[in-house]
Amino acid sequence: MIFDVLIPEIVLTVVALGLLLAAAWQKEGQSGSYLGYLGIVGLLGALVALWPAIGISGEVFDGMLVADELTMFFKALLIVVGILVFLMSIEFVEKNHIPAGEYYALLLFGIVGGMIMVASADLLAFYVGLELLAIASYALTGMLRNDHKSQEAVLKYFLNGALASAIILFGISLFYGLTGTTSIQGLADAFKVGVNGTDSLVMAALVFLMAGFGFKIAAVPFHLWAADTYEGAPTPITAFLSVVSKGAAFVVMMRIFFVGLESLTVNWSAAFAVLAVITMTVGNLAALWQKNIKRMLAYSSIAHAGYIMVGFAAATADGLTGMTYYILAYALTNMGLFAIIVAMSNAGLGEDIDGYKGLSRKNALYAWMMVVFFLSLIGIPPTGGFLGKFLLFKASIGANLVWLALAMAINSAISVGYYYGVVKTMFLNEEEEEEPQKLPTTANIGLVVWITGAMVLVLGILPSFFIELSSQVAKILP
Amino acid sequence: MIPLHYYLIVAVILFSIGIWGALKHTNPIRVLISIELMLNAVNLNLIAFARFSQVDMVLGQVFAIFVIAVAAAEVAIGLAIVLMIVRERNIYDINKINLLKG
Repeated sequence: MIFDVLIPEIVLTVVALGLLLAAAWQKEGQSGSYLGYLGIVGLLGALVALWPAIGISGEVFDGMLVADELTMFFKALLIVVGILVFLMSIEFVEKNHIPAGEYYALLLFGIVGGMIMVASADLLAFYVGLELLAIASYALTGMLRNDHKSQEAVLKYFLNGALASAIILFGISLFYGLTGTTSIQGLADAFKVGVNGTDSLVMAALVFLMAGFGFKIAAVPFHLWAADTYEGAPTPITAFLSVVSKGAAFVVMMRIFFVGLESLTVNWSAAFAVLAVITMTVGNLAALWQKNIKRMLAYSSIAHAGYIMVGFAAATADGLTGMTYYILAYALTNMGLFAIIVAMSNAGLGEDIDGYKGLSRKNALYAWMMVVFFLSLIGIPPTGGFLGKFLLFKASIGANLVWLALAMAINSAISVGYYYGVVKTMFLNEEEEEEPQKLPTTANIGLVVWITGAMVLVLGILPSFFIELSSQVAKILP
Repeated sequence: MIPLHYYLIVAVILFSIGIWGALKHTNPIRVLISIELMLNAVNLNLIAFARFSQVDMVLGQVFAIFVIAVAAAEVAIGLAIVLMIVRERNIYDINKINLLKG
């Protein structure tokens, strides 16, 4: 039996339920940090449980879930990102009096949802995973119950997310009607022999699916909720949304579009090319005016969704590899950046870019690591972001989309503007004569920053192992 | 028997009403109801296709049950969110919830 591949999910679900139970016995005013550490132990257990499943490929639950290179890669990434989110949450949860049991259990459920999404071989399984992740994210976004910004963030996120789910579902129902199946491989087979419907119906189904996914990954023109939600959400949850929700949606899209809708490549790759250019341009231009660092990073993450979509526009194995590598580099970079933002807000320095004045003299580690992460986001060597962008660049040239590669380069140049603004604030404000109060590095945040910083540099300097892993992912292609 | 496209036309009309309502209304509960309409259009689609499908009749019906179950969970959290905001601020209009912008 191939249940081996499900052990990580089972472990995480059991741990999440255990956390909820443990929280029920928690006394008033007692610290909930141990629940967070328990969750980290569970995640490490899941990472170990992933080990025996390496190399196994096949289907589980009658073709609902699948185990292959793509699944393994992103399951491992999801668990690692989960550990980082837990580490950066522990102090934040304590400080803001967030109910710890619910918070950590929901995070674990969200990660399980993401793992089901990346493993789904059937649109039904994908929908269940999507909703598991989405519902957990809604609740997490609203965890600061008395904070009006968090309330507004969750309302906007929920209404947009539910609308997006309904639109995706309508697309799925049309595909089911056209092909008589919801299996992704089944879609591909049905399109080869011809579907029972007109071309315009196929296009309508495709448009619904793409619009729904556009909401989920915050592609322009479906991005309007993203900046508000990212700004208002608790900061570790912003990191979670920008990496896990977005990343898992991209992975499912890879499987649905590259495998299931392979016969329609001509149609969707052109649409993605246009979406990619609009998304990266609008994201980068809007980021230039932001005063709040979370809002700036929200627009930056919209722009990055645009870069990743270049892989879909190219619609080749190279594009798939490039996207995989880019998501890996982007996930680690964003985790590190948000960890520093969490540290700043724990220290009471706020979320405005002005609050970062003179950070280099308060805490040199944070300031320099932020520079590394910004370099990675811009795409300057020797960082992982550079290589990710390079691979996507190569893919788009290989697919004869030189104008798209050019748009990427121009957009990277625009993005230097707002990242440099923050760096300038951190380093060049020397007007105060007295030595500013030092900001100590806390153990958990320090750990996240060191891990992600090291990984971002490894991805840029010694990338061969990870490039090999990413190119394995292209094996899902028919 | 009523032909398939009758069901599909009703479903499209339901879906359009839902999307129009979700975009037009400013009361969050009304938006929620509109989204439920859209989901019901999806269910109608799935069940009609399942009834007329030659291959696999159960699949569409099972999918519809999943949609109903998950939609219930979604509504539960949606109502909790609206209640949280209404209790504290007594606002029923999403246009007045506008701290975040730019």
